[in-house]
Amino acid sequence: MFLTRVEAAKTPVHRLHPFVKMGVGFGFTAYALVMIDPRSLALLLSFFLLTLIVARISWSIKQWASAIVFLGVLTGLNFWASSDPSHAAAYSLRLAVFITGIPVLAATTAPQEMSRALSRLPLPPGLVVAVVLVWRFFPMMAAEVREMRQAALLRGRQGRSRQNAFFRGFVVPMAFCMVEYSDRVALTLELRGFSPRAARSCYNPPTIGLNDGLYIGLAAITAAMAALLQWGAGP
Amino acid sequence: MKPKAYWQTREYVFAAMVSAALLVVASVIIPFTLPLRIPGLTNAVTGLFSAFFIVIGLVRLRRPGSLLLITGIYALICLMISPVIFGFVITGGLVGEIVCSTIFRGYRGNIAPVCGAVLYEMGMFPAAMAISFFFLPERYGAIAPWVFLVAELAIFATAVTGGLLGLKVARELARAGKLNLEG
Amino acid sequence: MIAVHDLTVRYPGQACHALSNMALEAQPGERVLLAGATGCGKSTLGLALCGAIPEIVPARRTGAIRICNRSIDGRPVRDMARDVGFLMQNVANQIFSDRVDEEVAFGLENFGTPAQAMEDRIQQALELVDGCHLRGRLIDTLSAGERQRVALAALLAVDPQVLVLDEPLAFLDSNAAGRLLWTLERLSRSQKTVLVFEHRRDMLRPAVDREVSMAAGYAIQAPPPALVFSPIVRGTSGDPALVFDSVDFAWPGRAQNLLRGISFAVRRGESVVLLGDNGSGKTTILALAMGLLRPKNGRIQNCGLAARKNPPGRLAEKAALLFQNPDHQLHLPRVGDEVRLASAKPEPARQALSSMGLADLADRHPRSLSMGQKRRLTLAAALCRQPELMLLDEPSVGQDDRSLASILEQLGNYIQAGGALLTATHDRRVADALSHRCLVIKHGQLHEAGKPHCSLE
Repeated sequence: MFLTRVEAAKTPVHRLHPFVKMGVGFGFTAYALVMIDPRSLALLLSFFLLTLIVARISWSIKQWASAIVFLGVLTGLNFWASSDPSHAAAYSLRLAVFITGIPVLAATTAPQEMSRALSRLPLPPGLVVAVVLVWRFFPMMAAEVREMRQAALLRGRQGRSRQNAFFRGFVVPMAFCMVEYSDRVALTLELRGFSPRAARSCYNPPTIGLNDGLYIGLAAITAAMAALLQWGAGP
Repeated sequence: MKPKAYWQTREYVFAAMVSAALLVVASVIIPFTLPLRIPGLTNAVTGLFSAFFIVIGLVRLRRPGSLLLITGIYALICLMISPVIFGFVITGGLVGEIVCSTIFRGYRGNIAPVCGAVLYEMGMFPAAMAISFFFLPERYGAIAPWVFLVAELAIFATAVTGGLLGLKVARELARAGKLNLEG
Repeated sequence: MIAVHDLTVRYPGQACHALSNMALEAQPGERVLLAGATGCGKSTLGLALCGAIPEIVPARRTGAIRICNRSIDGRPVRDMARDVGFLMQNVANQIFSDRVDEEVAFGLENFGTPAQAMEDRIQQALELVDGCHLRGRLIDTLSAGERQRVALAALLAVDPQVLVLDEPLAFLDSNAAGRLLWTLERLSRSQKTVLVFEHRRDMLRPAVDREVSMAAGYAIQAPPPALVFSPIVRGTSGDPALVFDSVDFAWPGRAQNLLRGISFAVRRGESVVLLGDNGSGKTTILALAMGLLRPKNGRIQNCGLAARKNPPGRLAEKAALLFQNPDHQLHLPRVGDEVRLASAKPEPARQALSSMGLADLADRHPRSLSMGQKRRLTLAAALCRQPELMLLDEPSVGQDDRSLASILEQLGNYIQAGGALLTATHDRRVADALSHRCLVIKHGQLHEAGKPHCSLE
């Protein structure tokens, strides 16, 4: 899912500052690692799921079914190993928090948004543009891999071993693809006036606004409630 | 006159393309290996291909800091996916870079690039296990130490294989005029 | 605006000069077409004008180049980018952003333009290329022609006085090509000097003020006469080698069909041309024919084998598909190996290479060849196998007239020998030369177009 292109900034979640999403995601992930109460973990998970619903990120029924089956099997195995239902549920919920935390940032943040946010940090321009390039050209390289696969299917193995056919049919062409893209893109980047020494301005710098404050606030409330459930139950 | 930047545009771009190749490899392999939950399996399988591309990257870039540049860009990408992955990618990169810059003073020749790639792959796994153990001591404490040793040996074997294949293909790239192996 | 004198460029390891004592002048607002065969030095000239040679592209350059009354010697490429905008043949490599306005702003960001000043510049640039309606769109949703307009706007935002367009017609259909000519007219009126490097002179001649012909690295007085490609002769008509029967196709996850009710046949001894705008489904039809994609409905028969029931490798034993991008079909370390693999005997392999003008390159690495040479190599390898059916995707891209003539000759021989040929193209000359029948894809449906001049109308 993190590899699909982010569509228009159509929801408030898409318009959040990338660092806010990253901070909340990272914070909740780290928080989940220290939680052992299934109720607290379920609360954290609900927050992420709600965020994804607001962001209109949907999964197909098949994806839901796969996730539920996977977590169900995991819970069953953990229960069998530990004989502790709470521990088993907590483990699966923690994993679910990790998994759902990923698309909150990745599926709602365009690479350009991320690079604009990174450009506000004291990082070399070359590094920031390199991040843009990876996200920009990763789909193109993936498309080239699909074409390599098609060419390999048409070619068959031609009497070679599977490993040799794979090596010559995929691995070597990918290396060439990587080098050739690099040469072309470096040239065009310089012809567009880029220089690693020159400071770059930003067309549409992301700013922290009311939505971000609201999101952080809601996350803080959720975290506080989770903490209450985890440690605040009292003797 | 402004001093010349340490990295030129083409070097940043090349490092970015190597990172894009690492991302392609990860996106293809991880969905198959991660659900199996065998410690080190994902690292061993991705290590074969990652080391391949990283060696080609190091053969071209050659200078001290090259491994950190490539893995740093890849780590920044991983930051968007998971800060934990960012952590162990950057750790692996630092391990490889520090050792190779200290001993080899860069990545010229054949040994240094393979060494750098192998150390990166081997450095990531203990970092990932350390983070996991810190947060999940019950689970990871229950795994016998020899399992980690076997995993690390497997990663070493696949990374060396990938690295040597990378050198072989680097020579082919040079023959095709895409890479300069001299100097 | 542009003054080039005694420009000579030599690449390392090459015996000949890529450019030899080249001279060129162009005034503000002038549109100059530089035409010449592949390898005559057009792209080299473009790179030299941008200052990329020798700064980025290693080569030895001598002679004088003045742009906007300033010598380019010692000027960094970044500085040159303010004066010269270079539009590449494949704009996909020149686009760095997801959205139109961000892409147009990219160059401005590189030059540190304050954010407040960018809006006007973006708007003006898009107006020049009639692209204001594209603002806010995702670039991946644009057609090839629209992407080219955006790439051009992105260069114009920086306000260069000179624009160099390298083979701008290569990936454009007729509509988009027409729009490009209109844009050139507009640019000229805004006093920008435009140099267009293209070997399709026929299309561009009406839109330029002057034509300079190039050959072997220097300008020549008179352009060579345009080659006229004779239509290939039909072979003895045989059974259908390829049959499409009521085929529907939609991409996974998309509700709307890209192709609807596609029915046609290609007989042995016959050459059929498939025309259509970019994105209409020409390449998809070829992929369906080889079993690389599965139709939603309908039947596809390829050399007597059902495409649904046979894997692509099986279908490829009797049929050959040549991709638009030949790179992924070349996988061996030597040119000669590619052809020898296809042919059991050495002599047919040698002949195939010779017929494509590649005999001297047998020991070279295939990936070191030019795009046009690679395309001819994949064709040579395919012809060696003597397939019953050949499917070609845009065979003329990267080919000059002479190379294209030799390709058409070989294809003519193939048809005469009883082969069946289906070619997807938007090159009118190829369509006219290759079509015994013309099929046009429009809005997902197939129509038979009239001869002698195939057109999309």
